[in-house]
Amino acid sequence: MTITLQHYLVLSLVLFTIGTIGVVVRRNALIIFMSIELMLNAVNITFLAFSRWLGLADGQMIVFFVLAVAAAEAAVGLGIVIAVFRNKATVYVDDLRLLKG
Amino acid sequence: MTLNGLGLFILFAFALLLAGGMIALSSVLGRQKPSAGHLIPYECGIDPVAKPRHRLHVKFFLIAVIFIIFDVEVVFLYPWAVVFRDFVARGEGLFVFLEMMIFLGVLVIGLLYLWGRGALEWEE
Amino acid sequence: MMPTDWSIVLNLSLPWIVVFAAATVTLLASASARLRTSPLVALTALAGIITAFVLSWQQWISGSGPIIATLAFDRLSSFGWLLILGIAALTILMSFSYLQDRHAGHPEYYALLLFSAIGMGVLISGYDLITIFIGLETMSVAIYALAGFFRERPQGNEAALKYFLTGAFASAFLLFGIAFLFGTTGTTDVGMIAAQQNQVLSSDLRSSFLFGLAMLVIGFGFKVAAVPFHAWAPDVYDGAPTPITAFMATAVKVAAFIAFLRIASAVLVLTGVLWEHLAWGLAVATMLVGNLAAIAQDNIKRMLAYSSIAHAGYLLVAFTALAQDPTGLSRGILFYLVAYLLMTLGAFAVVTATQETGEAADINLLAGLSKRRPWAAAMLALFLFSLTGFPPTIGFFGKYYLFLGTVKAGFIWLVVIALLNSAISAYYYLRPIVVMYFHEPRETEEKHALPLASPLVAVIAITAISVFLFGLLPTNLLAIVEHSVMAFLQ
Repeated sequence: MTITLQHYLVLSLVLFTIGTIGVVVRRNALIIFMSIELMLNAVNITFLAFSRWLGLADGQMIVFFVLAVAAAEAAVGLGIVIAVFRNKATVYVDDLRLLKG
Repeated sequence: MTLNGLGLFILFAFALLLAGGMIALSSVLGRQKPSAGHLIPYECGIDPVAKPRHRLHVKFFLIAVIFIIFDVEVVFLYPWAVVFRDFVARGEGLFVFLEMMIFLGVLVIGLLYLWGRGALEWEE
Repeated sequence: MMPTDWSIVLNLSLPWIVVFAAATVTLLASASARLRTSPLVALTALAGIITAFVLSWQQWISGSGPIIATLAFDRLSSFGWLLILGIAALTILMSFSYLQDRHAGHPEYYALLLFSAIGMGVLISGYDLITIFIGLETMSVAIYALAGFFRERPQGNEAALKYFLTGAFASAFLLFGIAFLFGTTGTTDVGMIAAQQNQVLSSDLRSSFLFGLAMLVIGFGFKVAAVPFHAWAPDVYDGAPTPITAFMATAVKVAAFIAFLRIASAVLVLTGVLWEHLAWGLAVATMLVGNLAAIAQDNIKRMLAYSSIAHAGYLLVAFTALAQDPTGLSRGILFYLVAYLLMTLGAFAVVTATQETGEAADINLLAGLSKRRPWAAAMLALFLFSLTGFPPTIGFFGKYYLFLGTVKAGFIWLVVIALLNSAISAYYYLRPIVVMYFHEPRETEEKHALPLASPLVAVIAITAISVFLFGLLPTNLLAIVEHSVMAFLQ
C-alpha cells in the first residue's frame, strides 16, 4: 500500500476536527489553546502534503511562517492566561463571566 | 500486505505479547502482600522530595516564552543559509545578506527591549 | 527580486518604514527607566503616524503603483493605509488623557498600537494569501495584548483571553482555507488563483477548492464579527479599554474588509451564485442578530459592539452583489467604511469623555449629560443620528450609495431587509439620546464636570466636523473613493 495525498489530507482533516472539537468542548483555557495548536499543526501537514504533491517548495516555506506566527501567538496568549490566573486564580473560561449582557 | 507491513505487524504483536504477558504472569505468579512500601510511587528508591504538581516560579515562564520566540525565529536562518550560495552566484548576495541582517536587526530590537526592561535578570 | 528594484521598493514602502521606526523608538524608549514617564514617547508615535500619513497622501496623489512580489501598491492600498493611519492618530489622541486619568503611563501601549497599524497596512496591501495572513496576525497579536493592557483589571483580562482564543481559532480556519487553495491552484498569489479559478472549478479539484474558499470566508467572518462568528465581539468590546475598543471597532474592521474586498472581487465573485447565496445569508443573519441584540443592551459599549456587527451586515449586503457591478459596489463599500469609522470613532470618543476616570459605560449614566457636558451630548447625538442614517450626515450617504448600488445590481429584496433593519436600529440609537436629554441624573454630586482634555476634544471635533461636512458634500469624498477603487479592479 502506498501513502498518497489523500491519506495525508484525511489525517490533517481528522486532526483539525479533533482540534475544533477540543476548542468547542473543553473549558480550560490552556487545553483550548493546545487544541488550537493542534489545528495549526493539522494545517501544516496539509501544506506539506500539498507541497510534496505539487512538487513545490512554497508549502514548506509557508510552514515556517505558520510556526513563527504560532510561537508569537503562544507568547502573547500564555501571557494573557498568566494575567487572568493572577487576578482570578482560575484558567477555566466558564469562571470568567464579568462581561455579560 | 507487503513484507514490510508484515514485519511491522509482527513487531507490534510481539510488543503487545511481551507487555501483556509480563503483567499477566506477575499477577498470576507473584505473591500479593501489599505494604506501605509497595504502594508509594516508584522514584528510583528515594522518597519523593516534593508533590509532583507543585508550582514553579513565574520567572520560568518568562524565560520559556523568550526562548520560544527567539528559538523559532531562528528557523528562518536555515532555508536562508541553504540558498545563500545560489544568490551569491547570481550576484544578489549583498541584497539577500542585507535582508537577513534587517530581519536579525528586528530581533535585536526585541532583545534590547527585554534587556532594558530587566526581563533577562533572574535576581530582582 | 533584482537589486535594481531597491530604490522603488524603498520609496513605496517609506510610510511603513516611518511607522516602524516610530514604533521601534517608542519601544526602546519604554525600555529606559528615565524615558518611560516622558510624554515625548506618545508624541513620537503621533509624529511618526502623521509623517506616514503625509507620505501616503502623496503616494495616493501620484497614482497607482505596481504590484511588487506579494504587495500591491495601488491606490486602494494607499487609501486604506490613509484610513488606518488616521484612525491610529485619533486613537493616540484619545488615549493621552485616558491613560493619564488612570495613571497608566506605559509607553508600550503606543508601540503596540503602531505595530498593529503596520500589520493592518500589510493586510490591506497584501496580494498573496500568506502575506495577508502575516498582516492579519501582526495586527491581531498586538491587539490581543492591547485589549488586556491594564493587567490588574479582571474585565480587561477576560476580554483579552476571549479575543485571543477566538482570534487564534479563526486564524486556524483561515490558514486551513489557504492550504486548500494552495493545494488546488499551486499558488498563494491572489491574482494567480483568480486566473486559474475557472480551470480548477471545472476539474475534479472543485470541491477541495470550494472547501478552501469556505474556510477562508469563515476566517474573515470571525475577524469582521459576522454572524454566526460574532459571539466574541460584545464581550471583547466591553472589557477592553475604551480607546482600544474604538480602534478595534474601526481599524480592524476597515483593514479586514478592504483585504476581504480584494479577495472577494478577485476570487469569490467568480464562483457566481454560490458566493451570492453565502453572502446574502451572512448579511441577513448579521444585520438581524446585530440589530435585535443591540436593543437589549444597557451598556453603551456593548450596544455599539452589536451596532458594529449590524454595520458589518450592511457591508455584506453590498458584497452579495459585487459580481454585478464591481466598481459601483466597491465604491459604495469603501465610502461606507469611511462613514462608519468616522461616526463610530466619534461615538467612542464621547463615551471615553463620559467615563471620566472610571470604566463604567451604563447607558443610564448618560442621564443629565446634556446639562453636564452640553457639547459632548450634542456630538454623541450627531454620531448616533449618523449611525441610524439620518440626513444630512455621512451615515445617510453611506447607506444611500451602498444600497443604491445593490438595488441597481438587482437585489431589491435584500435592500428592503437592510432598510427594515435600519428602522429597527433607530430604536436603540435614539435611546441614549432620550436618556441624555430627558432623564435626570440619579446622583447630584457630578453636576459640574471638569473640562475635557484638549486632545479628546480634538478627536470629537474632527470626527463630528467630518461626519457633518461629508454629509453635506459627499461628492468630494465619493470622487476620492472612486479613484481609489478604479485601479485595483483592472
